[in-house]
Amino acid sequence: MSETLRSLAEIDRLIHEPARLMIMSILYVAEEVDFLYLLHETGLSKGNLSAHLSKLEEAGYILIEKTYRGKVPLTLLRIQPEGRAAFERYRSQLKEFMRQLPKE
Amino acid sequence: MNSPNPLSDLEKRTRRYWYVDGLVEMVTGLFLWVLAAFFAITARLTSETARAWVLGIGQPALILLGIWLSGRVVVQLKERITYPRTGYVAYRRPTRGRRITRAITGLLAGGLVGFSMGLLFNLFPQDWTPAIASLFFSLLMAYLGWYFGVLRFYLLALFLLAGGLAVTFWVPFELASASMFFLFGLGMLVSGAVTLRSYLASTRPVEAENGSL
Repeated sequence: MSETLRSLAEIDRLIHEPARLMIMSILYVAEEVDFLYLLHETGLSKGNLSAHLSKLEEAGYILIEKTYRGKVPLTLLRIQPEGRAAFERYRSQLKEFMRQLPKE
Repeated sequence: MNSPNPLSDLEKRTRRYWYVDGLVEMVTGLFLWVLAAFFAITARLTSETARAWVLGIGQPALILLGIWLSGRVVVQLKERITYPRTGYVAYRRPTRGRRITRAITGLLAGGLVGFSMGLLFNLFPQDWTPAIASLFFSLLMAYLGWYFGVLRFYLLALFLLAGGLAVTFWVPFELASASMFFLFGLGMLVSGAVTLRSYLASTRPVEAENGSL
């Protein structure tokens, strides 16, 4: 059991944070989304979302592209291969941890 | 989360977003009305040969053109109405393997549907064609409801089935196709319009600087 618990220490803390987990989950299933869509889906404030996105971008997990649709500024977000791999690793680790927990 | 597979739910929710505004249904409804008009005009042709040519060439051409144009119209409408309100999503293209699997599944499904329809057409009188066709459209709509998790598609499926039965019993056979597509189009238009109204009432366009980093 102690080894099971210790495995939790190796979990990706960047993804494990609830807001960032929401963000990564959404980006994992889409090709690309814009900032507004994430704002609506996560329910986070603009500042909070921006801060989390910056952390994910620094880690190389996502790509943030600022562009325009006509004259309207647009921020597009897309998960990177490293982010996709990290998210899949995180899922496997959590799944394995849950699997090893004793049933009630 | 109570779902056994929350990531699968999230994937469904992302796919469902394409139908959040009812625009796809409205454009599809209009396209079905164009088809209804086409069949109504074709039914008036007195020459069997002319009708066969028009149906043989015109119908597939109209369907292909309609699908292509509808796609573009929907995207244009979403850029003006949906994306400024609740954001933009681009969907992942399936991998090569998944595309092949889908193509094979599609071919098998198409073959099965064609075979089943042929069987039913042989078992039932020609007048029952609208009912049989509406059964398959209805099943398709129900499947889309399940796949995308859009509940109103189940209601549409029931409406399509009822429409097909109504046409079978109350409309002369020569006007059956036109009537059926008119009814289907009406159902899609109403469903889409109600959804759009609800969507517009619950959202508003975000100012440009608030919708980006």
